Amino acid sequence: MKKKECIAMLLAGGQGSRLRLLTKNLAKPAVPFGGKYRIIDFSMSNCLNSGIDTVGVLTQYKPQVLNAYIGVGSAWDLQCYSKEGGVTILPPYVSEDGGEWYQGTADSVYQNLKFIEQYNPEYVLIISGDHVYKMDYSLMLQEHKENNADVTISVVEVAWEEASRFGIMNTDKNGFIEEFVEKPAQPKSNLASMGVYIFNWPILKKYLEKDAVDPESEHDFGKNVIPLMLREKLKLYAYAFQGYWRDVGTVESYWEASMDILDDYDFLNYFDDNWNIYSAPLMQPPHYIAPGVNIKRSLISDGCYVNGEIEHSILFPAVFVDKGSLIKDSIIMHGAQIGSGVKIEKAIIGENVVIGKNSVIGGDGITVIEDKQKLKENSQVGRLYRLKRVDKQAEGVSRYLAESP
Amino acid sequence: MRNVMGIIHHIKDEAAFREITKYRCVAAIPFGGKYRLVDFPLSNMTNAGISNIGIITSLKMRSLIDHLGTGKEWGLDRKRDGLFILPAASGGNEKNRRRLDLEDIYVNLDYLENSQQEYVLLTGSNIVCNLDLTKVLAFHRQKNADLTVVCSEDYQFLPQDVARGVYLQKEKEGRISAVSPGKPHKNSVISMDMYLLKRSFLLQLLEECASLAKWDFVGEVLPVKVKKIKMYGYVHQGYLGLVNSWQSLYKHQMELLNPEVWRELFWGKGLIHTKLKDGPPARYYETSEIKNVFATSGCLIEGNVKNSILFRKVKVGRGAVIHNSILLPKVEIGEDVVLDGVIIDKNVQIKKGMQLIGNNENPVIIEKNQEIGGGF
Repeated sequence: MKKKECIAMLLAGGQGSRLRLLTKNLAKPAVPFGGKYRIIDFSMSNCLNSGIDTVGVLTQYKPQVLNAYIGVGSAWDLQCYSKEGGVTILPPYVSEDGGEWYQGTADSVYQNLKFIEQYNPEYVLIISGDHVYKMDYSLMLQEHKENNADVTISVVEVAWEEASRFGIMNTDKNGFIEEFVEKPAQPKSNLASMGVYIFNWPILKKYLEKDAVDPESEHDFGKNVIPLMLREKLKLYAYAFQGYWRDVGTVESYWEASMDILDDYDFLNYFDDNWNIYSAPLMQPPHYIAPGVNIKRSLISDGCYVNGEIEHSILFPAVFVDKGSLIKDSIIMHGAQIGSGVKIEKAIIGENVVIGKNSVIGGDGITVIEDKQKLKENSQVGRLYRLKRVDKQAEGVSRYLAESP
Repeated sequence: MRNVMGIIHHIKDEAAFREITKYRCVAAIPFGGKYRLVDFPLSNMTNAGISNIGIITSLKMRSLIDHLGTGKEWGLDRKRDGLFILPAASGGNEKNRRRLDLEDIYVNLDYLENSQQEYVLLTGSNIVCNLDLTKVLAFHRQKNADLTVVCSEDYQFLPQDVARGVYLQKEKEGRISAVSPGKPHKNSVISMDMYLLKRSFLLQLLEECASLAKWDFVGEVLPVKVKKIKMYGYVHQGYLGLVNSWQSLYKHQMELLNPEVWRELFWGKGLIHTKLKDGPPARYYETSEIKNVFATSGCLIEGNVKNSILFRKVKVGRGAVIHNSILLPKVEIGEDVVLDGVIIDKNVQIKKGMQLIGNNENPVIIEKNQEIGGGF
């Protein structure tokens, strides 16, 4: 097979358990985001826009939706039949020596060393399907080559008060990484690892093989492989990424990142033809907006029918909003049906949810309604992450019990 | 319906669409926010299971071929059968005004002969409807017809389109006794320009036409043949738009603002498929005011839009007032522009402060790739 300069391994097996109901039925990279995307679209589009044409997608947790979504990769021009490379989905497998689930990020790549070997690349880019960002990996690769580095880790400046939530790099002024601390209590820098790495292929191979036989290791890049490389004095450099980057790992950060997208008019700039975010589009007619409604600061997808007030919200495709409803600071996913006179504030409404008329959704925090729930008329749902139907027959407002997060 | 093949014929009356068809054939006329006219017959056919479809086109085919590609969106990028582009007999030199030109089919006789299907559906490219063709085939078989024409009993032409219609005399039981192009008479029904017949019968007709050099199926062949064959009319119930001129193009798009029509046409028997484009959801700004609008992905709307249709990637600047208008992809409307009753073709920029006023009967048409206002 043709030799490739750089291939990407995209980690997409994470459960994203802190997204709770949002990842109940699908892997975190497949979570819908931004009106018509799934989170993995950002990394996949970055690959296309950076000229990377070979991507291995490592899947494990509930991969059905993700697999179907990626398909042959044609949404990102990565269809494997058009050229050597393209997208390959890499689930855990068994061989004559048995087989195992992926034990960690490093282990998942280790188990697919043969996949990488067939392309015999010079560099391997490790990325994750969990992040919302637009990044040109080719610039990072260029700096990697200029530094003559063994490993380059992309970092982004985070707010100092949040620095203790991330893996923090302490570097000298040339970007040489002196120290890497996972979630430091007293951070010495605010450069957080984005989970984007470029490795020289022989070095990656050597250290993954080393890590694989270490019984103490959790087989994680951030926890084990990078610290081991630092201990052995390899040349690790930080690449300072400028731009928007979010790990949408929790319901709160998911909601916040969605609101960021709403307010940042440039992030999803359709008119920037050189840096589009691509997705597998659905066949939907244009959306219809009825007379006599107000729509402010919102993103509305194709196939929606809007006959209510929408303020600072994101509507995914084929959402139906009936007369007199008000939707504010919320995210309404594919196919949800909102009855008339419903008020929704600061909520995430799952796919194909049906909300009966005159219901009130929303409370102090972020309210999440699970996919396919059917709420009767006059329902009131406050701050909760899971709905438990208490009594199907009972009338009134307290038919749903909250289970606190 | 695997036993039926489809041929979409070439509409020759391009002049009826003025500037809209300067760069494109009728099949490729943009319609309804993200579609082109050909999507409707094409989707109706593929939704019914027809998988062998030929499209006749003239020299103005660039945008049509760009749109169709391999036929992927309609499931026509196939190993067996699929989508075929068939050049018209006259090339780009459209001197004849045949309504359904059999010569165009005759020059592609190989395609017809090599196909395996028993039946052929001939259809125009300008018929906006969501129709279950399996019922037409069932009707055709039940009547043991030689030829079935799909027709409408209640369609109202615009006055200027009356002469472009084909009128049928329908008897009880659905038998068609007379075909008169251009001349309506009492109790006549309107042909929807969709004909179902056996492939062998079409081949036989083509040989007869070739020997007589009479090629107009509707104008010359049917009015004579109707007496000799069993011709039946299948009545289509439901929304119908026959897009025969720029006026009816405007009218039928405006009808999409009726949610009932929107629902029936796009959420009806089958989805209408079109070439998929990437684009984020439409973005509505703080200053936007939207009433009764049909809008598409990728729009950026800061101004006031009412009773209008916005295609992909339309930008509406702050303070702009747009009423009763159709804006095609990549149209940019500057600040404080006033538009009423305007069709603006692709990639036009209307600069700050301009005013363009047409009316419902005679909308203003702005040709593709213009810059209006500003630098004069």
